[in-house]
Amino acid sequence: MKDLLANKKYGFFVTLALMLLSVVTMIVYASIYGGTRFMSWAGFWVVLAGVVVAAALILVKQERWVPALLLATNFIGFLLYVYYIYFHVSVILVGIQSAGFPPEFFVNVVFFVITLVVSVANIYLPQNKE
Amino acid sequence: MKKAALKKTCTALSMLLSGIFITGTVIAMENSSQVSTALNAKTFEVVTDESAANEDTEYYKSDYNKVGDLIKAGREKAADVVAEGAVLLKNENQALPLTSGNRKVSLFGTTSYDPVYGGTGSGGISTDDATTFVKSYEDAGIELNPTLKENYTNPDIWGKKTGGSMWNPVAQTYARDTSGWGSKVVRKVNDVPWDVILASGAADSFAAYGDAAIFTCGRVGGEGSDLTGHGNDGIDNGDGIGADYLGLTAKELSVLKGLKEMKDQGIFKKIIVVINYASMIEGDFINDPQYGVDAALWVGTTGMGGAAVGKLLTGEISPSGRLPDTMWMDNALNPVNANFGYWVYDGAAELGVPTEPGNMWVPEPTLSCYVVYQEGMYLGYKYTETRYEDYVMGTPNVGNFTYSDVVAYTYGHGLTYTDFTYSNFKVNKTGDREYTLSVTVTNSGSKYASKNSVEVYLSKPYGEYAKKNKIQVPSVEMIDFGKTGVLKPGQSETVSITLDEKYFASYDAYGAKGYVLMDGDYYLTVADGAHNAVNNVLAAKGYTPSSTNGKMDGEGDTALVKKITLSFDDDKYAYSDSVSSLDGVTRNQVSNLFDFADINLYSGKGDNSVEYYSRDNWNGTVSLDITNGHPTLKMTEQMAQEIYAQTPEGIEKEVPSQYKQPLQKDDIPYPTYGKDAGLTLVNMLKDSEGQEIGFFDPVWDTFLDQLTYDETAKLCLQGYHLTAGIDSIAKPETNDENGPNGFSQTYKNSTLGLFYRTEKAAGHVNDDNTYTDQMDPDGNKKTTGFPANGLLASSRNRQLAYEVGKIIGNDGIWSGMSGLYGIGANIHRSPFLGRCAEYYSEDGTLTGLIAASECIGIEEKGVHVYNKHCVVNDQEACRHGVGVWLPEQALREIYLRAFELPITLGGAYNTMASFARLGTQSGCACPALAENFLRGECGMKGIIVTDCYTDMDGSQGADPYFEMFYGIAIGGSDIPDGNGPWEDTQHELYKTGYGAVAQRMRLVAKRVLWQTVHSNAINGFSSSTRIVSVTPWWQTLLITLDVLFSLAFVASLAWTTVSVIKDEKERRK
Repeated sequence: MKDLLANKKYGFFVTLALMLLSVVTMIVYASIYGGTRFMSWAGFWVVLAGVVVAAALILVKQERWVPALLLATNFIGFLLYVYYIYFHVSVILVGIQSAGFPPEFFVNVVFFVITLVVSVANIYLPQNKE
Repeated sequence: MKKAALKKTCTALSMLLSGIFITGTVIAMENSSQVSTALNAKTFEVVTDESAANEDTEYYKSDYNKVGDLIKAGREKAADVVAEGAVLLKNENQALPLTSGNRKVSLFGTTSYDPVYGGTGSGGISTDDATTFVKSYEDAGIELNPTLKENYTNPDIWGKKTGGSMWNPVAQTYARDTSGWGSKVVRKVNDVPWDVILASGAADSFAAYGDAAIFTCGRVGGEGSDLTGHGNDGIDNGDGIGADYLGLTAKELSVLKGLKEMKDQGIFKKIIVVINYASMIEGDFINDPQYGVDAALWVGTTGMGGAAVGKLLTGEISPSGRLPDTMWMDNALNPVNANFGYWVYDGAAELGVPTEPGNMWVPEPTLSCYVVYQEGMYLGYKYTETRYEDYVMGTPNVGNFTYSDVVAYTYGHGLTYTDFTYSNFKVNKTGDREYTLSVTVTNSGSKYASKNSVEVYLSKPYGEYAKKNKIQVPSVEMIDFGKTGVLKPGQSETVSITLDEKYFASYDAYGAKGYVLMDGDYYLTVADGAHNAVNNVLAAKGYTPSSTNGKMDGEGDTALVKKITLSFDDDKYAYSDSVSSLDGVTRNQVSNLFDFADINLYSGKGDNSVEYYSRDNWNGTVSLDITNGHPTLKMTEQMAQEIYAQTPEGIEKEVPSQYKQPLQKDDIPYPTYGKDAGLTLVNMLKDSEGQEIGFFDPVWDTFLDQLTYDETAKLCLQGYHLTAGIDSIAKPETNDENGPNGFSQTYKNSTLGLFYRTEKAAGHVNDDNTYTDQMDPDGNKKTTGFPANGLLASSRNRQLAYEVGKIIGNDGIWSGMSGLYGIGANIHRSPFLGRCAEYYSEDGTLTGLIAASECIGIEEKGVHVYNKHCVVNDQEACRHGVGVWLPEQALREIYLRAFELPITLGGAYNTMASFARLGTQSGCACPALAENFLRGECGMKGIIVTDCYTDMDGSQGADPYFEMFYGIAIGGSDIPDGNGPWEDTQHELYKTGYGAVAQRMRLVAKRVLWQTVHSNAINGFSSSTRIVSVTPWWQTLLITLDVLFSLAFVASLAWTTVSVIKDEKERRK
């Protein structure tokens, strides 16, 4: 572990936090929409796969690729989330029931957006001390 | 910026942009028709060669040369509806009309300054040109108290606050307010209480405007929720209803009390109440002396017709409407309310059927709820008047029933500003099943001219046959009506009405299983309302107030009664009048179709049984216990099996394994597909000799063979406010829109509309489909929004209904609409029904007759109605999947009659199915209703669309309870009101091995095409017209951006990769 953390700059720790955030986002996503047709299980697994591969890259000391990988997988997950949730959104906006968005919808959106923003920011952060 | 950061930025940015745009493009493409409609983008070109230039392709012609003329006529017709439909409930002390020189009035109540124009949801209408009460009154010459006007309209004083958003509405202090959703909707009246009015100092202005105090009470209902929600500001008097939205609030009553004090002091000469709600509020306050109301006028919701209200108050027009519903003293005394709502079957959870609430969009369980229409035939006035008659006659088990404590104003009640007398009442048998009734109506007043609505009531015998076979016989039933012209004082008119003896027959569900004429005495009478009709009949039977110890509360008029004695006959009305549209030949025998919806006859009833209301036993069957007065039903395994059969694939959520019932494969051959015969849709209108091509003409087979499987599926599965376009046969995509109170559409929006074609011919349309500056500005206006349909019913004027229909039809021609999601033919079963603005009455016959006339006008212009919601969608609570149980007699004589007459008399083409179930069968999955009744008995020619499909298939996260392919396969419905990615892919399942399904799909496609070719959608299409697909501009733009951003991403990625390789080489060196 000591060896893994040697020569690491703050960006690396952001990466670790991002990996954790990605997992949490997927847990939140699945817990809210898991039983519905608004759940993209493909997106769910892509994000988790990204985290697993990122962990593997860190273990083999190839962490410089991890921010790009996480951005790519989190972004694909985000797009799949959008694709599956849009019908839900359109039903609310133009549906025949008088309704609004439930709080859990916003919770989910916030998690996805934060994950994506951190993913983008993370690619600019140094991972290792030169 | 450093080079490395620039590379990262370029790569990340281009990746994000390309990803977002590609995803957006996919979504937009899946909804391309909606996007194109929203952007008014051209998706096809209608190409006609020059040889057809001389063909008249306006198959359905507008009555107007300019859209402006139509708009003017529409607004005037809306005002006519208010003028003829408004009901003068009370008029004492000559309170109304406001005579010249006595028109300085003070206007109270927030609704006086913020009218209720219509319902919400599909009953919503454009209010752009709607007339406020204030304008209407001022235009009529009424001078309004300026202090009150300022106070009620200034947002800083009591006025309605504006601003906010859908998500963050402005809290209202003194304005009607609705919040929440589903069963959690909270409605507040928020009127200004009397102490606040006094504290404002406004009282100083009252004396100068004291000719009258006019108080308006308004209520709003709409789609998605009934009016029984808790949390509103009504008074809870512990009767189980909760804070009653339909009673006056404490604040409103404080104002009326305050006005009474002012009247007692001589400050106000009179108090007038205007009721601005689509149905009935509680009427107990109107004759309560503590409030001192002199006159009350019900104006429904006024749509764009509010201009008439001022004229009604000043007497320029005399009211002549008659109530379409009973006005109860107290809704807790209406026993229907003990069975209004929904309950969960006992034992459902044990059978594995979900009983949990849904979510905010579909708030109730969709698979396990029920309601029993326990009242059967005794709904509204048929209950109050029948129990009254039995009370007068001393029938055993009638219980205590003091009519005046229960009914404020009976069905059919309505005053005018003059008096009328009826004389020369005659009834002659003029045909095998025809009676001609005539009566001379004389304006016996001395001052005001007025129309008079003549209502015909029938009293059938309640004899041994009825009792033995559980036929329920209301004391009186309104079976027809007529209306005079405007009669001046002293003027007379003889109204002649042809009566169909068919309405004398009763449906015998338990004995003969068909319509029977029972033996005995039938009484026909004309009367001012149902109560006077009963008294007339009682008088004819020999009863008098004195002979009944004062129980009979009126003398009755025997001169207005005709007794007819008939013998038993179960054959005369055993067959339907209409030819079945299933074969074009048969007149179907009318027999029990709906045993499965009567819990006492249902084969899977288990131990369940219900005692419906019976004249024999009022005491034992009627309950006023709102909380516990409903029957309890237990779900049986057969019920569960049948409920789940309607979701054969179990889309969205898994169907429990014990209930899985997928559609069965078979060896039935598929239809021929893709065999070109060179026919286009318009060729199917008439043959080479100019004769109309019938539905069963073999040329239809040749025509349909041209379709591919995918095209057939498209016609079956795309129906979200449209029927699908098929380019290969030049079938245009049609526009089918809400709703029951008229289209709420802008004239210029559709390329199929006459407005577009007129402007195009005038050179006012650019190549990209946008309009030039020379466009007629009236094209920006919206079609006419009509008042609540209850007003049309209360007008008792078929001609007016027909003319309203013609305006709607013309609106369809000009705006490019060929289908109307209306009219609304459900029943005002309870005053708490949310959508009463869309429906007509508590009476099925009145609903059916008025709606039929309206449908004639609409259909005449090539707009096909989708009468909705067939059937028993008489409540919003748990409308998604609630199982309705009721006796077939009530189903046929009340609820289905409202749909039957518009088809048989009005030529209604299409129907929208109900969200609710008959028994266990959803409205879209009920072949007995769709095939046997609507098509078989009524001869309906067109299609059945589901209600909002995404509410049923699980799209909104609730338990799905219906799949479109099941509806198609069993003949329950034809197309969904909804289309999305799931429906687009589901038809692949049935591409092979399901010949029976494929044959049903072909039949659906034929029906869709048939109703389109007989609609105004083909206006402008000649025999040589072709539809050529055009890629809309937004698709070109999106694809271009996708390609650009993707190329940028690839380039950035390549740049980064090359740099990384280079760096790596450097590093290794």
